[in-house]
Amino acid sequence: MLFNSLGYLFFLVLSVVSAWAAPAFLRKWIVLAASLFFYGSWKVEFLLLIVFSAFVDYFFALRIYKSADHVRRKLLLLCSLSINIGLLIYFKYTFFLVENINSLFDLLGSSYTYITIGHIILPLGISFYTFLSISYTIDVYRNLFVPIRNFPLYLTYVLFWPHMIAGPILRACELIPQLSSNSFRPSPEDVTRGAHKILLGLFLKVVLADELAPLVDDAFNTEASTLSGLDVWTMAYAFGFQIYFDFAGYSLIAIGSAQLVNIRFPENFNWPYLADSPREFWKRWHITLSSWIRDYLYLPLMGSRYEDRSSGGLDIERSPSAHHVVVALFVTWVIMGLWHGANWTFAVWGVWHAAAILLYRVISRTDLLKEMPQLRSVVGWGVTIPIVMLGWIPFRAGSLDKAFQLLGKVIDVTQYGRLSFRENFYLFVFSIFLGMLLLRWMISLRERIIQHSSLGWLVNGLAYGAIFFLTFLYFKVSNQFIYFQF
Amino acid sequence: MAIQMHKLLKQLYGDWKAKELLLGTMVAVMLVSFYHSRNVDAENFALGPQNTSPVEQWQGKHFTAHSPLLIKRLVEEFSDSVSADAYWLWLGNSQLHTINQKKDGDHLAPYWLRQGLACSKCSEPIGVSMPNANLQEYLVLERYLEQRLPIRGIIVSLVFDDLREDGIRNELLDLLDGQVEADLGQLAAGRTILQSIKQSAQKGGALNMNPAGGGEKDFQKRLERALETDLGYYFPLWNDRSHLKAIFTIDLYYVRNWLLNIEPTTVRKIIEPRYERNMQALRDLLGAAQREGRDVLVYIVPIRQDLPLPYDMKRYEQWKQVVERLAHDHGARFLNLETLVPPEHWGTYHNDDVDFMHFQGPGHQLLAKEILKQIGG
Repeated sequence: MLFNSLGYLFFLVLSVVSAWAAPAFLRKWIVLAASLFFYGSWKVEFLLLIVFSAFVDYFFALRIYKSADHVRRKLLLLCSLSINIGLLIYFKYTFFLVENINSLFDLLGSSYTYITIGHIILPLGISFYTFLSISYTIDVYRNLFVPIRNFPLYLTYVLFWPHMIAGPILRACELIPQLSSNSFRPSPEDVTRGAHKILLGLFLKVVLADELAPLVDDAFNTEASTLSGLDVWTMAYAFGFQIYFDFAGYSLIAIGSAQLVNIRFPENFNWPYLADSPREFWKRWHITLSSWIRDYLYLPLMGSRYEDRSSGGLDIERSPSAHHVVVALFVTWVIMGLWHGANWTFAVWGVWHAAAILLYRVISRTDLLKEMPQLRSVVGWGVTIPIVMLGWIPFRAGSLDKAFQLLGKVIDVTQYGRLSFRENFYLFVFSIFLGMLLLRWMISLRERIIQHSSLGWLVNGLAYGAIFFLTFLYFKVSNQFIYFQF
Repeated sequence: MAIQMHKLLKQLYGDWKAKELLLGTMVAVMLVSFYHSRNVDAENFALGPQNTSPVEQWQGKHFTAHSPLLIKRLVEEFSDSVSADAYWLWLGNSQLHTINQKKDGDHLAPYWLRQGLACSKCSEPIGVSMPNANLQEYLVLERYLEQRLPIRGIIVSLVFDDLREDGIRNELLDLLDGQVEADLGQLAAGRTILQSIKQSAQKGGALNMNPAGGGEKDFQKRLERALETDLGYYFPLWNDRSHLKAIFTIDLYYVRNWLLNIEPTTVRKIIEPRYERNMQALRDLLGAAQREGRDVLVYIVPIRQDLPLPYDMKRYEQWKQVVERLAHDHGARFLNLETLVPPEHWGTYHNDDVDFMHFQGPGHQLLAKEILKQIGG
């Protein structure tokens, strides 16, 4: 079920009110039933797959916890990981692997019978719930979490509808205690904050992301050879904004929906395009994923001590010159890229970010602007954002060939002389960029000038009025959220 | 439960965030009411308030069409002809289906042409046009109609400004059946069109819930439809949202023009890749007609001459030469009618609104007369 639909709003109100009004012993069951319905409304058969996957992790986690033998614990963990990752590989990467094997043999020129496979339907949200399940088992293995002996509760943790399809990716220690001892009755504050987040999320999705979507689609469908350097920059910024509004919108609706049943989710985005370094960007973008990658992939690869929180992002800076750290960085980012999609373009996106982070580490060691932090921040922002935005080109291009063609246009200074799209496209993207800076400036101004004043709620109220009005006008079920395909 | 609900509402009353949301709701209601009360005909905004778009009839048959629905009706009404070269297909943009300040007795150019051509053995004109139609759309329309009607010749009106348009609008996708697609697949521009449609379809579209498929599509579609219907029934403003959105877009358009000092005579630059795709479509259209033995008349449309044109004039002059050469190369007749309609037959204008495209009734008569001179014999 899509968050940006009347059906979802109807479902949400019904679920929240039912949970609120029901007797205490029934509430958990209502939340579980709502979650099962939410996922089952897409494809009921896949509920069995998720229940199976959840049961495997539930079972293995208990076995790991019970066992005192280190080798046995490790074997049990490997079994659990193999099943989870095996399912993910089967559903998400089979076609990609087969295609690459066929291409490889093609390249070698051998007389090889091509492998052919049928159509595999990708279960919605598989990348997200696989990570959720993996973190649970690993946390138990690391003795960070005592496994629960309540399968329905564990199933609710995996299937809880606000985070089920596309995150935020939560840790067991963040969600399970909340689910097990919750009244599911929101306070008035929860209701207003939750509603506010949902409204804001819908605005970002239906007014901004969905209005940008057709322009971005048209631009990326255009033959690359006909585009200029300026076109490619605009496309990069346009898609950068689209994916941000889309996913930040989704996350806000998820966080708001959870808050309506008195469950707190961590924030997933924090003004990422105001980051003044690649490191800072990954502390602000898809925070729960980058924190997950930090604790379950990057730090273990480096042999460092992991953390236990889905906040903070990929904020790591340790012995930057060490060879194994560089290897770990690139391996992590290639995996991070491929997690987003079974295509080499995503791996290139990962390598792009790894290179940017590495470069930042090297440069920041000889910090020339150390004495001028404000200038340093402005320069850092001025360099970071174009790098991040250009990184979206391989992410969105669809093929490596197209990605490199587009990036080639950016490098070629002779390719800047003309514009290939309607003027409104450039204007829209520029307005969003300017609007973002203006809004941040206004927020900081408001915080300084009208703090605690009654003028604050008037300004906010008027802003909500505009947001409400535009969301009402533009609300329609059109595109799925971009991250649904991951 | 009632007591708890009362307690909750009471607590909400004391919450700042709740007050902000309440104020926001009130502001939003006021804005919706304001937009709802504005008497703006958003549908006709693009054409301008002075313009009318009639559908011409002859002996009960509608022989002009300017929407996919009307095009389908036209095909139904005219497909019974026994003659192999029964019709002249006149392709155009809104100039062909619009009369500025329409008076009694005014008709569209295809009507006057039909009168001029009226004889038992003559081919009859049919006018098919779309607002801001680009040449890729001409190609699709021509291929669609050519398979359904016995077309003897094609009259192609060319508008420089429409070369800024691109692709096929969604409403026309309905016309693309397997036969038309196969036909388009034989042409360079046609292949580009099909590729672009395919990519758009893959990327999204209404309720494209999951690229890998799934039951959600049907379930949510049904649920949404039911909820939409109910909301529209109990809350009519819900159904009026597209109208309010159109008015809001018009406001945005004026704000943009005001901010950037854009005037009706501000030069609109050519968009090179779109220009190329449209010209390729014209080449394909002329080439196909030549191969299939159809007569073609290509003309540069009349345009208002009493104000500076909003064109890059150097490119405009070059383009006219290119079109003339193309017509010559494909055995088509060429006419430059840009100065045909005198200033008094165009629309009135004031500072922020000049109509360069749509002329009054006598302009249509003049246009038909010029076309008749070419094809009447």
